[in-house]
Amino acid sequence: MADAAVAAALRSTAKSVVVEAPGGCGKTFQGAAFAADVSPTLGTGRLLILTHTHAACDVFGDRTKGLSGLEIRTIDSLIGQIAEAYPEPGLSAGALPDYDRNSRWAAGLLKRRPFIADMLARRYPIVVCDEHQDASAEQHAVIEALHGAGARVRAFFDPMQRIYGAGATEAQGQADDSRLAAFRAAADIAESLDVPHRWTGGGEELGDWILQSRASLAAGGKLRLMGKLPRGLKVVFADNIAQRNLGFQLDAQDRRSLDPAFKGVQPLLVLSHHNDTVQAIRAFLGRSMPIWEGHTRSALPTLVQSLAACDDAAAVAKAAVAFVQGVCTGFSDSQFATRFRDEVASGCAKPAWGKPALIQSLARRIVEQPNHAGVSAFLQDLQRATKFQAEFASVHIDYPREFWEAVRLGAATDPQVGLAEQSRHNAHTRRLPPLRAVSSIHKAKGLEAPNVVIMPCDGTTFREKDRRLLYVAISRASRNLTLVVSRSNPSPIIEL
Amino acid sequence: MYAKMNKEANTLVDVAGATILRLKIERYRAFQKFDWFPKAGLNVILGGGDAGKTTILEAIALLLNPSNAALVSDSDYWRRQRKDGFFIGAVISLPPDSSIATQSRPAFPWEWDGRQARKPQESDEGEPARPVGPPVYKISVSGSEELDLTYAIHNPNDTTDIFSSTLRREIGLVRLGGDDRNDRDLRLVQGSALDRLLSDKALRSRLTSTFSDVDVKAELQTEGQEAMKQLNETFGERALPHDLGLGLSAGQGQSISALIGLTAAIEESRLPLSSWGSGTRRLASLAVAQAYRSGCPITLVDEAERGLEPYRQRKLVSELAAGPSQVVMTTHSAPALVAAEPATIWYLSQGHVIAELSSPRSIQLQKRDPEAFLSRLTLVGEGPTEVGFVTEMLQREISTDLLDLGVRLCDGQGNTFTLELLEEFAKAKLGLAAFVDCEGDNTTRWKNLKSAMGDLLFQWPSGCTEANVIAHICDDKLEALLFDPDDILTQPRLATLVERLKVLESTAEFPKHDFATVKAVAGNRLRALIIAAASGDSEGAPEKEAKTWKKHGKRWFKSLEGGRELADKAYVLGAMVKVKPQLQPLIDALTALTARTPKATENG
Repeated sequence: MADAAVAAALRSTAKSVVVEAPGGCGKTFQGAAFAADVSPTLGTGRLLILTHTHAACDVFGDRTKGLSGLEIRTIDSLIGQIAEAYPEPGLSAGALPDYDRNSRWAAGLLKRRPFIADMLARRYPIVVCDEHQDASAEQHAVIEALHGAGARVRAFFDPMQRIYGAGATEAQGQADDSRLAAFRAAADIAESLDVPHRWTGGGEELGDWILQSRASLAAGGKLRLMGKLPRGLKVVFADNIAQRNLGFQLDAQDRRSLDPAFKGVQPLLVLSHHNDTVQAIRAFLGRSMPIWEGHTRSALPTLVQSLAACDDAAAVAKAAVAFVQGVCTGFSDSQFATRFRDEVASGCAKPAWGKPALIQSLARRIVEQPNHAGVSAFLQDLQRATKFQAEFASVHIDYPREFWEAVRLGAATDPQVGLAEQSRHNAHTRRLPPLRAVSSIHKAKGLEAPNVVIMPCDGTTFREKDRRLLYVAISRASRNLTLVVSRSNPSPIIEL
Repeated sequence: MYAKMNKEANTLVDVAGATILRLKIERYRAFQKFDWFPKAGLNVILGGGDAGKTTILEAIALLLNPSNAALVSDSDYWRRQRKDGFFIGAVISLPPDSSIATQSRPAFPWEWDGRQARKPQESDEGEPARPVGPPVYKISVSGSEELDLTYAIHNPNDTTDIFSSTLRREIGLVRLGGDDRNDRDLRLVQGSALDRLLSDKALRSRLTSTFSDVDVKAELQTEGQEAMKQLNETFGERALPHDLGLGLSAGQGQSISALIGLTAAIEESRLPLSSWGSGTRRLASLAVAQAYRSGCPITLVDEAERGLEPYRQRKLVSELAAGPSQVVMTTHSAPALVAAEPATIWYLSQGHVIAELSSPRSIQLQKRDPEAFLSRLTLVGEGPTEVGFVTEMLQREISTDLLDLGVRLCDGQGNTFTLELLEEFAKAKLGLAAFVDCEGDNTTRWKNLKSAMGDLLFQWPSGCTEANVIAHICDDKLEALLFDPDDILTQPRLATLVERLKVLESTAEFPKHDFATVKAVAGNRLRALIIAAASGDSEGAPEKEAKTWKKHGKRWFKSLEGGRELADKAYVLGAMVKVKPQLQPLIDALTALTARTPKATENG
């Protein structure tokens, strides 16, 4: 049985063990049980569990409570520690951690100066790598360095869960795949987990179906929704009729057929591919569910970066608008943004009344302080306006955490430093998603929920190259999975 | 010697123990600034009194103090100036299993390039910019104006962490101090060698509870019992805690376990080891320390000879030299110094400059004449003639005994060897004087030495001692020069002249081997002939005779006794009148030295 074989392999004296671990097959259980067995035997050394997200740290932390001789951290924090211990010349202190640069630097150090890896391998004689498919080339090099220095490496990975954000190239994907394959081939022992533990106690049929689907998608096949569906899986046919690109809207009839899925107060995770669609879904659901913002931010770092390059109020206004449009809906160019930018550019000189006067008063904040503090003041006024001014009722803050982080940044002397502090804080505050939430598939990676709705599942959202993304989405569900499938614009990787 | 060379090529030997690679002392006691690169293995520090040898040991001891209880006072600050604080720092390599890597906050190592700890810095593709050095750590202790001590680990990113007492204890420190009362390592004092060895953390509390069970009250005499009873009543009346008893209880700053020490059986009873002689206590401390774990703590030995007979000194020092630990040792003892092999010998001068005496020359001398390193002033004669000559001369010119002045005469074994030795000693700032011939080579080096040593270096303007002295003996005294007071060498000396004359005058007849005959044959070449024979000059010798001619000098003055004889004859036969003006600056310089420095014996 795979579980026993994996357990034995982990505990063996082999220097490297890799375990292919599809989501829900007991990887965390295996890792935690291994930690419990082995950490007391390491003397002054510790077992190191390296994850890619703080959420995963939490999961391992919960399962290994009370154990000593164990450290659970993100691989970025290990790399950050090395980079901090040996600062790269020319880097300014306190700046936003540049993880890619850190890992290049740390990987280079470990390669050139073996004594650093030696020291780490003595501190961590056993290293467990979680989600190793997500390791970058440099992160992987760090693991290889520890392995080379004598640490026993135990890596869990699932190639099917390697998904990329926007901007990733095919070449990168291939390089990552072949690196992982080489790592697996070179391992002393390679095992696979294949028992769908997450679904025991009622979701067995769904679990089996998800594992079968995984195999099919991994082999370049399709997700089969034909024939008899497993218990827990529902397919709802509905067509996205939104006019806007990546928007979301259903006609009344389709909408009714979906109602049962959203009824009640049961925990629910609604997943969609694109951020814009996620925002649109939130609106579609009457803003009854918050968006899960995850542990990282995208609009805020862009704002800080743009502000650093601004040399006049107009540029600040442009950056502020881009931020607002990223985290809110409704602050459109035609309704607000164009006027707002014009006001700032003209120094709010022209008298105005009504809605334009309101926009002018917001713009004045930036004119008075053409910097992050001005942006902060503007955002605060904007938030009040959305609450109290009828003219702003169409503006909705979809990412309130990120919005307020930008407001708080106004108090920082240096927005770069302020942002670094906030992202550290976010990374370490072990925040859990709300019970009912809308999320992008990327941010839902690593989460699990009893009830999951994926929508829309059409040719626009799940293209030929999105097989892994589709697998990640379906494997979040532990009991009930609802797919909102289009007949008119079918996905090429879904077989109806 | 080979071991030594290897050690030098590889400053960082793969030893199991911690090794200090560089020691920096600033404003601590008499040291305003001190920078030292000790070697792995045994380091022997030599130097005059008050040079600060013990301060170096004390500085290391403070840096690696196993407890936080060390106290400092005004006098630990340079010129008692507390304002600027003091600093003792070291670059240290630690054994691979050191807990510095496993403590809760790991300290990241620096990289040792042989002279300093560097940050590992390049990471781009291609070959490393410099070879990979071994990992090292920077540690320090500093004293503040308020007499507080701060222990720090200095990280490559310019931050510092606490250099914990746990880590200091783990590095380990054995001190065989000069202090007679010190039996710390034979007691269960926290951090002592015995404490580390037994490492039973719960012992203290178990003992305390055992001791508290002892009913001391029951042991009291009647009067005592009565006094206790009264006291108990008083306590009760004053609402103090009562129902009093007596038990052992540790006082502040003094733990019960500190009263526990090693004991050993002697005849019928057991005695604490601390009541043995100081030498035995020192050896016992060392044995206890070495028994602990890795068994190679950094070892400090002040005055290795203390309390030990020469045979035990030799045993102690050769064990230290052979052991894996880094040892810093001071000694004033010749047997101890001879036994220090392999070892690095250092000389600490009055100006707190420390220099390595590592040339083959000085290592040879260390074996042959260890006292040359242990004297106030080492007077190097180029060869036995010069040593003998100077001895005799100084006995006549300076009333005090040379030995009493701490002056050690030593044989430099030839002109070139002497030059090398003098250069090394002068660089190390050893108290140094010399008496040498002039062979006409190495002019610049001799000139540099002369400007460094001044009048304490005497070199004949040209030629050897024999030539310079015999040149000034009147013709009518030449026979007396040849005459050996013991009359053993008179004939052999004559024979050397005859041998040489036979080559010069192949037709000459020697009916008698006496001075008159030789003189008659030699004529006005007699003095040159005597000088040539006395200095073993082989010029003009037939090929197979050259070796023999070179040995001729031995029959004349080429020995300690011969040198003395030559000096004696220089005085008696009147040559000294002419020679002495040249020697006077050396004599004066040595006399001045004796006036300046009290006799060693008066030093206490």
